[in-house]
Amino acid sequence: MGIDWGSASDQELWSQAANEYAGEAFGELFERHANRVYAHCFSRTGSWSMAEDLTSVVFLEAWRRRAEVMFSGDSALPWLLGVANNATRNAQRTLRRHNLLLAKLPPAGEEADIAADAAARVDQERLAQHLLCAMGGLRQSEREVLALCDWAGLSYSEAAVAMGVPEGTVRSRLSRARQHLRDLAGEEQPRCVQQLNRSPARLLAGGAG
Amino acid sequence: MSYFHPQRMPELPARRRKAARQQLEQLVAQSANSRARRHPAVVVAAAAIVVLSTGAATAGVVAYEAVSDRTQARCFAVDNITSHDFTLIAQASKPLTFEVVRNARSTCRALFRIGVLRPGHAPGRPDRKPSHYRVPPLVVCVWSDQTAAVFPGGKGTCARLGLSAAAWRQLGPRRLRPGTAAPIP
Repeated sequence: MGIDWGSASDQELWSQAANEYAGEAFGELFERHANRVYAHCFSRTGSWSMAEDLTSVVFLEAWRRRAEVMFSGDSALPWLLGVANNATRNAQRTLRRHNLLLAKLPPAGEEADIAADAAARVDQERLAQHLLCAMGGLRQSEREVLALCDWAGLSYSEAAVAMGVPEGTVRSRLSRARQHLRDLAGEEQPRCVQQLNRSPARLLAGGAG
Repeated sequence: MSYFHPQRMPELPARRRKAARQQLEQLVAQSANSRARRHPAVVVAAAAIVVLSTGAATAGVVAYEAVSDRTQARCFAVDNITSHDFTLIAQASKPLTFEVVRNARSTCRALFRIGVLRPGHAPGRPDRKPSHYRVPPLVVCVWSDQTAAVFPGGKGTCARLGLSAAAWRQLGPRRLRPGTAAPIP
């Protein structure tokens, strides 16, 4: 029987980084957070295939930068999403750095083989790209805080860990970002304006589909 | 429906997920093992030095010392400083990550709880159900390099091993002279 990693906290798993259990412990961390990281990468890139590559990259980067980890409570997720922010910000450069490892994984996007699922994925990708287009008028930091708080569902304090800024900065930045997005929605932007009639928070609440 | 709520998002495809996890585990294990291979010899040497230089510590006076290096700590499965039955915990460089080592006793307790460490055994795979893992009483001593070393045992264990007991509670090195009595951690 294997070690019961499932009952260990993220901090306990991370504490194994210096010994022979590091591989299993990081495997458990991957299992625990991969879907949230994947969703976040998708919301930042609007591409499923790039999100798959970036999810791997986030965990490889997390291992490379393991000494810098910051926990929010017991969770490493906010910090991982911060790593994901950096990875998506410099996506091409980051992907190039890990190109050799990524080449050994199954090709991204290969499994969307059921027609309905494939159609849904295409729809989601289109919507994400519309939203990203709309958010193009926002500052980088505003896009990040919206993605973390409104899409990934992090609390202010968790987003603060992810962004490496004080909680108060997250609050004010988020408020400005939402206002800025509403302002943009009022402007003429034919490609994006239909989606922008609703704020990301309302999209989250169930209006987009 | 919302497309963006994470709980409603499609999951990372299974095949890709499995391969990515395997790759991560291999990479991490290779990297961690290449560093871990060094420590047994270092431990033997350090242990010999401690035994030779601190024999007087068993004279009945409990000595306390501050743990000044919190970059790592050792969790022992046996109360024997020459044993290799220990595991290293967290090396960190930023303030919040010190908590793992600062709370070395609770981290080690967790390792006993999940079965990584078993009293009297080499760290290894457990053979019983997780709920049956026993956590022994633990005591924090100061290793020769001023890091924390956590052993199964109680009061007097550090002295018997020729080590100082750790004075964790804010008696920093400047305020605490080696060998000075201090609150039990």
